[in-house]
Amino acid sequence: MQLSPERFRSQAQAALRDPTLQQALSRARSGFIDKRRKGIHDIADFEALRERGRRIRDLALSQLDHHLEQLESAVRAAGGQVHWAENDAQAREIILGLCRQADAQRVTKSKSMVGEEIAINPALEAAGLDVVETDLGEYIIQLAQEPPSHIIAPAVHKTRQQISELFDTHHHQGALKARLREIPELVNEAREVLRDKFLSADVGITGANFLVAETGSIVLVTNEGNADLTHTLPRMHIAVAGIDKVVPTLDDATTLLRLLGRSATGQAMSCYTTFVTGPRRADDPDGPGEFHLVLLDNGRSRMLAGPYREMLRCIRCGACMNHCPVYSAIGGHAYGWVYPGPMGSVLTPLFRGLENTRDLPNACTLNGRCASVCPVKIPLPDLLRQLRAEQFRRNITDSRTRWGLRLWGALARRPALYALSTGLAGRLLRLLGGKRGRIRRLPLAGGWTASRDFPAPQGPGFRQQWKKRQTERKPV
Amino acid sequence: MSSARDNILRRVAAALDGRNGNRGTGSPSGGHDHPSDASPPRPQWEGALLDRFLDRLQAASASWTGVDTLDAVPTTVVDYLADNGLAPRLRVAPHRLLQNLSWPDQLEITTGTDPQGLDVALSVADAAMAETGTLVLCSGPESPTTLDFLADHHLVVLRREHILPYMEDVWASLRRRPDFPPRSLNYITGPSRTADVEQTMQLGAHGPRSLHVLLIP
Amino acid sequence: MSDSAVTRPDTVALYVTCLVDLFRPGVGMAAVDLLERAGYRVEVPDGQTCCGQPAWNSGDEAQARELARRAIRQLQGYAHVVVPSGSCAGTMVCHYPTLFADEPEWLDAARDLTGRTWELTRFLVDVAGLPADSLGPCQGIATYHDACSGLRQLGIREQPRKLLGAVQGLSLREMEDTDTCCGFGGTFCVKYPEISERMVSNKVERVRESGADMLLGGDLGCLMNIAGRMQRLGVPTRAYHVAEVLAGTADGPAIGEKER
Ligand code: SF4
Repeated sequence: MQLSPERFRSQAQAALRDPTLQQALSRARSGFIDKRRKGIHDIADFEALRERGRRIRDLALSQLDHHLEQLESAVRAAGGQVHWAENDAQAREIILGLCRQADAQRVTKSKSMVGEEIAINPALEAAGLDVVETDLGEYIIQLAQEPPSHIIAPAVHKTRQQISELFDTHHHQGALKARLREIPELVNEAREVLRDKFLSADVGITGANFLVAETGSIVLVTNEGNADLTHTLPRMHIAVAGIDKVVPTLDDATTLLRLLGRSATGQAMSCYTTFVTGPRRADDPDGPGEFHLVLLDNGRSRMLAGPYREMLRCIRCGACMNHCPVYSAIGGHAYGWVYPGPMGSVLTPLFRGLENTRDLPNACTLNGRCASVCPVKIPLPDLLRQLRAEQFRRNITDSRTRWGLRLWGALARRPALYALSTGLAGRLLRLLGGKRGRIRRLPLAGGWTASRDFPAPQGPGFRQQWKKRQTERKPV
Repeated sequence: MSSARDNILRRVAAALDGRNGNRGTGSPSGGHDHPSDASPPRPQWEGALLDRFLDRLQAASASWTGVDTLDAVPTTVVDYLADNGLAPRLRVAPHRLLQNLSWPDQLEITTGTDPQGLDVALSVADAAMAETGTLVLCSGPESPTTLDFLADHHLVVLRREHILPYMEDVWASLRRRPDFPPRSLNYITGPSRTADVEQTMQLGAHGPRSLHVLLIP
Repeated sequence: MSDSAVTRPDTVALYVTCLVDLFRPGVGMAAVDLLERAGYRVEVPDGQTCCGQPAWNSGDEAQARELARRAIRQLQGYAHVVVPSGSCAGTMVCHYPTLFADEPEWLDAARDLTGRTWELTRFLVDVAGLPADSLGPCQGIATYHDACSGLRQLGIREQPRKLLGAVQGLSLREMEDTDTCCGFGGTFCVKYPEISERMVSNKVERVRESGADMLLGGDLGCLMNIAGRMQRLGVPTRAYHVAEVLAGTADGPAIGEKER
């Protein structure tokens, strides 16, 4: 069944019951956190770096129109072309048109979250093109016909056994009988298979980690080197990026790169950080003859206008999901769309509509760990809470929550009634708790007692005890 | 009908100037008013630039050899290939530094960007940065990007004086060149790697499996 | 409010919180005891109910505002307001001002409250200057769970550890992931019980691995959650609020244990 943010609940439940997935998730959990913790060590004042990152992104967004125009003229000056897409459909149309123009048959792709957002692969495949994902993780899930479950480690949910099986099916027609293979062997095999694809691709599609307005450059960050083979070898390079990705200068990009690697994988610098500016020059020995940059709005200008602007600071590092205990319990697919974890729980409702993503803003304990590691200091819990408030205002909040709140509010505004009811409730719960001191099954609180005992109240309420103490003390 | 470009830019402008808007005050042309512009938070180290560079280079799983003069590069390469059990075959970038070297006969030298026979490539770095042990290579007539990514093993000649402390210094230096920015400006930090199978680091994903620096005076 | 005594600098208003009031009054009494030991006069302003956090976190801003107004009024004039819960204190300190961003008068009052409101352990260490030598006693090995709101909204981490370090007979043994959420999250744990179960199970596993025989924390919600899961799984570690251990009253039944 196709994943959807509307089915968050059932997808999360399925994920919790999937032992292979749970095995993969528990392996990933501590790894990412440790790597970041070690990675930020070499900068004495990492907090100051985060603050600087936040300011750079805020400043860039606060003059976005100027930066976009500057970027456009710089790309043109370098011999590239800029295309503007208001939504995903326009972006697909533009890219498909360019591929046709290049008379393309094979397209290599370097991992791009915007590519996922506009669902470019199915569109190109439907038009008869052979689309090959070249990031190893993306390649694995392309073989598995699954969407990514993490924005920087798309196949984080796959175990080595599953990958061995996929490669057996797709590279050996099952001849290996799904034998578990060593990691170097798997990586080498993918390298060989994909090398041929790189060399025969007509068009290479990449995303962009940043866009630099002053030079018209796109910034590509990888560890594998696949982005560089993708933009260097084919006849045409198409980069697709959200309009939010612009930063004014190379020095701004530098600060953000220091944050990105450390936050994502704990690396001070990923293996390959590339600034691509336009197509092959007249005297260049290699590179694509054409360079096209597709700039996508798809709701970003709306976010810029509203109370969620801070979300546009996101540099897609994945730290928030790496540190999210909900994500690490259910994995990325449960969120039902391209962007998982805390950033996805904010972004998906903004892209897809609050009424279609009821659970996402709510499935969070607001524990705040995500915001404490976000390299650009996005207050993710506050944004989630704002989404909840918007749901409440627009009557999207489920009726049980509404009634519960209404009842609680009615009591909490009337201290006498409150004291009476909590006193009664306390007595009732103590009665239910009996000699055990706790309750194993509680009507209306089945969610709790399905997996936890419920502690019975300890003696009469505080207020009563306090009053008693006061009267005992009075004579003094 | 107005174009997508105009619609997007109009919406962006309206968002920034509208009731809830807040348009930044820094100059739109890239000048920006960071209060702490003087010293961005970045790694600090004690000791020599070169030591820091080599330390970070090795931390990134790359290796290096010091070469006394440019002329000694060919013998160093021959030794490196022999030591690592590699066939005596080398693809040399058309870089002016490498043009007048005399290669020994037993070494098969090729040029161009043909992927066939691209086992070991030799190119020249435009700069390096000590901050992260990173090599900087700019595409151009003397420096085909293809070599740096398709070769199984990548050898890079680096002039000691081209090692700079930070990325900001690299920008300042490269900006002075007339052909800046090049089509592809590559910051390379160690050999290619992936952790996509069970978060276990494996070298040699799509790019070179090894990266070796020949450090010349 | 008319009582001039309330403005005396040695007077503390205890905001007891609804969970403590209903489920664990001993925590409130322990807080009173600790504050008095530190030389303060304790008052419990009348009419306390709920700080509004459930409404605020569920998006019902109007109701949150109404309950916040009530609390602000009740706590007006006190030199210090002390709350034995990081999440309720966090709501008052960090979120009340946000609630009144568009109401200047209330905004001032909310900010004023913010400056006077303290989570219990932070107040004891940062304001009252404990630990004195007389905390506890309490025999055992304890591990401490950093509840999220206290930790990240109020920066409470060292304070409880410092205090516990001064308890006679107690040794502290840290668990792994002490700063990872236990899966309580207020209404979260009943809205998404399966996810919450996984999170609390992970937490219980860390508690168990630590080998401690007591689990301590500063937020009753989290403690009830973890204790309830431990009891369901038959893990014998006993859960107490940090105030009970500091006041030396942790010799009674632990959270969810029967009266002896
Ligand atoms: S929200 Fe912050 S932590 Fe999460 S992906 Fe974006 S930048 Fe990274």
